[in-house]
Amino acid sequence: MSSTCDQAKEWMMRVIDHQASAEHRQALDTHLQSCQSCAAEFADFRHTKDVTDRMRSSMEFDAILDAIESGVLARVQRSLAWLLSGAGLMLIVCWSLVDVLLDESVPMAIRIGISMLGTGSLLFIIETVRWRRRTAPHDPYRSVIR
Amino acid sequence: MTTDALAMTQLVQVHGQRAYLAALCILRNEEEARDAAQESFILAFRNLHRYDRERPFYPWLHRIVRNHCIDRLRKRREVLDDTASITLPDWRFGPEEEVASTQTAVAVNKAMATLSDEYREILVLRHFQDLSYPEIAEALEIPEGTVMSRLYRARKALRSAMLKGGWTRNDSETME
Repeated sequence: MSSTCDQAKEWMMRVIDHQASAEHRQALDTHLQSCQSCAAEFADFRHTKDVTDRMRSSMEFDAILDAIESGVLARVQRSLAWLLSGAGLMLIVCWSLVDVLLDESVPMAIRIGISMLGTGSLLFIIETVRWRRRTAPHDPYRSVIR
Repeated sequence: MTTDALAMTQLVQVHGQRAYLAALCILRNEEEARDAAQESFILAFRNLHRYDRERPFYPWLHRIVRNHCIDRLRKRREVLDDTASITLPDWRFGPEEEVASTQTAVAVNKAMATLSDEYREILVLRHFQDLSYPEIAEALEIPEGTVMSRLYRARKALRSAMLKGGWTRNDSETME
């Protein structure tokens, strides 16, 4: 097989897929006139493309699209609901904690305990988020069940 | 309906069919493909700021669908082999060609099922989803030259699988 035959493969694909320039088409025509094996191959490719061009998927896409669309919207609403609930819960907890911490009628030991618990939880959340951001995208073992 | 929800609905209407077919070709399971398509749309929507609006949308979405499906396969630690019982899109001719073309349609579908994932994917993108070479290159993250050489090999493999399955060129000529 000559190097022109190798080049002809690319020209054939371009011509069959209507993505060839006039020069590509001309170069292919010239080559096919002198190379029977490429000419036969080109006829086969063109025939297969003609056949598949007339074929369509037999699936009922309307129902599938409806299912995808409603699923996507439901997921978006769920994540919005989680976000709002989480933010609301955080706001209530923080507000109540500050309230308790500033309330002088609450014993000092309980106030110190609440401060330590709050600080510990905050550090825990920050470190977890940092760890996930640092390792999760590159973790080669993430598919391994631990 | 909010603006975001409306935009999401429009994206699904325009690109849902392609995204679903892409997921089905990889996952080979209708329910899972639907689920993966849904999640891919949400991922795409969350990452819209990363999408270059000068470029066509589908190749970018295809990359997301593809990566998401591969992640799903990894998570379930399952490698589908070619002999597994699989669900793939079934391609047919229009009703006017139905009778004479059945044999050819069967041959094409059988041949598509025997191809490697790599070949099947590029054939679906080019033949059935009508993506241009630059779009395929972007969707598969390969150079345009590789698109042509892979298409060449995939088409040869398709043709030879059809012939191996007992199909002859005369089968399709009767319908022309």
